[in-house]
Amino acid sequence: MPETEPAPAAGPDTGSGSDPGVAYTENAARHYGSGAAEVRALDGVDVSFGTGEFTAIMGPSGSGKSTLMHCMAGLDTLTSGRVVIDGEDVSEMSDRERTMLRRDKLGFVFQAFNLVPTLNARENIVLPQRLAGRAPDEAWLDEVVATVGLGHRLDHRPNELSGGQQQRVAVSRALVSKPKLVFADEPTGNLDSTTSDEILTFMRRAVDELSQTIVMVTHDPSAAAYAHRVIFLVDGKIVNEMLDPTSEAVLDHMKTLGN
Amino acid sequence: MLTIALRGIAGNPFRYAATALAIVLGIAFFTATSVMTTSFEDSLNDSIAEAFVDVDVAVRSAEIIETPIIDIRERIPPSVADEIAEVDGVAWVFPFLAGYAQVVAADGKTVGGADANAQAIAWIDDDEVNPLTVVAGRAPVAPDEVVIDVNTFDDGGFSLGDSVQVLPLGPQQRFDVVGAIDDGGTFGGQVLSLSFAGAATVFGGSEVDQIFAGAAAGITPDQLAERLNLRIGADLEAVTGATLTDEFQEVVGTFTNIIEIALQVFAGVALFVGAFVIYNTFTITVAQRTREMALLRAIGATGRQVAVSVVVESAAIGVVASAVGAAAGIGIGWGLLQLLGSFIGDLGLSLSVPAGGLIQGVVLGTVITVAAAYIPARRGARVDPIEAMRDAAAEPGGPARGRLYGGLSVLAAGAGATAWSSVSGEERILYAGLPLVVIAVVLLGPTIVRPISRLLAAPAVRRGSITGELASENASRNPKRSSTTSLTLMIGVALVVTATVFAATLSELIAGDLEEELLADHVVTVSDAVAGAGGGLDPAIAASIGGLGGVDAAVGTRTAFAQVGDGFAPVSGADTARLAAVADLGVVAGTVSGLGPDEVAVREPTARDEGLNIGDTVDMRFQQGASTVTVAGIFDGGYQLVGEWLVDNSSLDASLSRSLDTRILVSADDADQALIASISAALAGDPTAKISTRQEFIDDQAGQITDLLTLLYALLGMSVVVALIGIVNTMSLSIHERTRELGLLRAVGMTTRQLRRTVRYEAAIIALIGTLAGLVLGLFFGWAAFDALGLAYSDFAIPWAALIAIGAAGLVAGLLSGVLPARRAGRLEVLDAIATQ
Repeated sequence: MPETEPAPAAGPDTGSGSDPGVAYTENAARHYGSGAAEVRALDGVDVSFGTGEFTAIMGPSGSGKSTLMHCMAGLDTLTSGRVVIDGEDVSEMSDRERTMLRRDKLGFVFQAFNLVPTLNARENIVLPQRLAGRAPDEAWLDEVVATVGLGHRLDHRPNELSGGQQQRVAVSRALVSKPKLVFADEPTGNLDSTTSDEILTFMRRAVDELSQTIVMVTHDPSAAAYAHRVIFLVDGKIVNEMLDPTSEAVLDHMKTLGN
Repeated sequence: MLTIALRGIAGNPFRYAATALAIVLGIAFFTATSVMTTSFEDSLNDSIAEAFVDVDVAVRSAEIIETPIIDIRERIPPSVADEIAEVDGVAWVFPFLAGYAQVVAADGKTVGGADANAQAIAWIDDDEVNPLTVVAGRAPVAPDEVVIDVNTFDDGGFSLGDSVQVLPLGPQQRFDVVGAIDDGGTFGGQVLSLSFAGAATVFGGSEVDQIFAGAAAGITPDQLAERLNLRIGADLEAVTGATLTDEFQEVVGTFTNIIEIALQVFAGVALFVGAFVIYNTFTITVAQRTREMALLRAIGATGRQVAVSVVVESAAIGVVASAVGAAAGIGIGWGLLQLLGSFIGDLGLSLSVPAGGLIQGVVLGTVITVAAAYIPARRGARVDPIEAMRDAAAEPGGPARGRLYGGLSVLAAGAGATAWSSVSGEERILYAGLPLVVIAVVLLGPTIVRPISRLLAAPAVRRGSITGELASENASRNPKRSSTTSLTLMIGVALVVTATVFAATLSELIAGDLEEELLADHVVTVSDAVAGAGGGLDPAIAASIGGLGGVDAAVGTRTAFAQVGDGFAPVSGADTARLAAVADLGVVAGTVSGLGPDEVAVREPTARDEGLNIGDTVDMRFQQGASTVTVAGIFDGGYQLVGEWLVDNSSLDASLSRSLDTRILVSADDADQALIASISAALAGDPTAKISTRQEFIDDQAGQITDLLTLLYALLGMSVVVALIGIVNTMSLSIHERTRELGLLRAVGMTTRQLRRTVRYEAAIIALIGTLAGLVLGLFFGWAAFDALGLAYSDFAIPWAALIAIGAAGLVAGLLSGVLPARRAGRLEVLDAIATQ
């Protein structure tokens, strides 16, 4: 049974000793609306993600897990606090700088609608590099594609691919530019369990073998079990974290959060 | 369902903004046309009625030359007035005569520029009958006295007592300015009036147009006219003033009707293009609302109810947009009226708003909107309730093969028919062929969108531009939509290109003919306005130029309207004894030199049509004389110089009160500056004369068609604008549809600048497809029109520079029409976009 630690101990140091991590937040807060209608989606979150680490963020609906991810990726802005990615303060960045950050240092996998329908699989994978006007690293592209097992489907458009294949393309795209950090938002939410396992196994291999850093938002305990670490969010606050999780342990813990 | 339809509009007002604008513009154009022509006609009719209100009866010749617009009536001797005056029941008589004349100001120039309208009438010494009123000085009494309309009087800086020259008379003959008059907006432009004797001098004869008579107390105009008709000869007729008014108003009506129909054709084209825009909007919105409609179907709405809700939506938009358009049309019509007034002179134009025209506009706009929305509405009715459960609407597939083969078959049929018509010379086949080609283009549109957009984006893609590639893919992802959008632009462009090609060809033909046939080194001309009013240069001017040292020949030419055989024809006059020195008419039989007073030369095509050979006779009647003339020569060139029929100037002198030269063709031994100076000196007596070198004259003649082309461009511009609005609209709707995809692109690192560029490129690709299709179709139309006229293929001119300019304009317009949608796409919040369900 993996150990669980109480939440207050979680901080920038969490998980990776003295390494501040490739990305961290300091007292991150995001409020929507004002007055009585104010919603505190994030309410003072301090979290750090170390290089080569696969972290799952879990929590009930409305716990702020997606908001945390969006704010870290520069898709949403904090009301207060800081987000630092690769030593740069995201909260200080302009729209254009945040776009550059996403293009050059981050990778994304969404739950659905991950791919541009007019581009084929290969074009989707190299899209961020094309947008940056850079030639993709062909050797690395081959390696990623081989690892994902997409070789023979590369010339197909998204509507000719199964849901699982589409997600593999999305994961390949997220990895091919060797980003500092990959954000995955419910990447297996639309997939059956066999396909989910394949995708998650691949994501874990990318972390273990290719030294990628992945942060995954999920509500599925069996998906969370592929991570090195699970962070539990409730009402915009980190309430707990779990190292080397199993799906049973996560499920049990989720039940306690429900109360 | 009605509530749903209206909420649908209220919920998405911007979705329909472009649709509404397309209708507003089309209907505004349509209504403005109606408002302008009605106001013009009403104003003119008012002045005509006012002018003849006190004329009880007019006596005039029964002999007329029928022309397409206003008939030319023979003038009658003034002595007829004395006969009439003796008839019992006639209270008064006044002879009426009018014609071309204008004053020369102190600076030696005419007033109002070369294109000003100018005429004179003999003074009628009765305040009631005379449409002119003296506002300063007094009426003309002596033969050398003149009064000038007050606008010309002021603009020309005249003073009472000035001694002035009155054209077409020479500078030696002076007239005293004794008054300024107001014409009450009856004539427009410059109006002079002289005593009867003075007018007779200016017009070259004392024959009068008609004699106005007043009825004595107790006799009605009808009775008087009846009485007079019994007394006067069969070659004369008496009509009431009311008849006179009716006749003039009918001419005005015919004229304004022609203008109204011509303008409404262009409004119709704009509305037709607008219908495509509406069709496209509703097709897209129905597709986007598939889930909403499926939900309605799932909870129990019938397909019919869904369709009706779309139709109601379109009707609401149609009524509102048409009403706004009609209201705007009143304003635009008023503006056009002011513009018209500034061109043709102060006619006292006032605004009339035709209720019928407004209602027509609103009904037309509504019907077009509903009709265009009907097919998409039907499609909405067929939405399967199960669509509500589906995750995402399927991407439309590529165009069907059947469309390709069907389109190619129709194209082959159309091209075949056109070719056949060209070979066989059977025009009717062409009328079947051209629509087939248009249908083929519409059918093939969706199949050519992808290849053409790839081709257009190829240079950008080769450079590795991801934005170009995405734009090209986006343009071709829904080929039907892109095709319909670009075809709207194609219509306007095709018409512009047809007109351009046709004009270029005509212009080159004219220039080519003149290069070959005009031997003169210099040409003296008067403006079209002067020639049109019956003015020109005193024949003495041509004679004096002919007498200059170094001048080989100076040949005056003129034009008169005549009845030739049974029909109306313009007949040219020339100093035929010397004509060969200044023009080569390409004589094919007989001679055109030194034609006698009873001889005529005719151009080959007309000779063929009329079955005329050398020695045959033709009856020819001019305003003041008829004769039977013998065909002495047949020529096949010279259309630009002498038209179809040619007589000697002496024939015209004998058959018209006054015949003036409208051109003088001058050939010289050595055309140097000194000669030009001496010709100019000979022209000093008439400021309406303009001297040009041979080349200037040819360029000017060939360039005249360009003025018409500019007007056509302006009229077709509205259709192009509506089509561009359609592009803006389609792009905006597509962007709305692709919100999530755009959000994804932004999330993985597309900058707003790249996003905007992608959208602009896509708009440009769609516009370019329409422009290119329009160019090809327009060239084809131009060629077909040209072919139908039976002209030689070697003369078909392709104005490359103009075509390239049109292509470039299409590209720029496309990029510009992408600006708004691009800005909208750029403002997209990434988070909202990816969160949109």
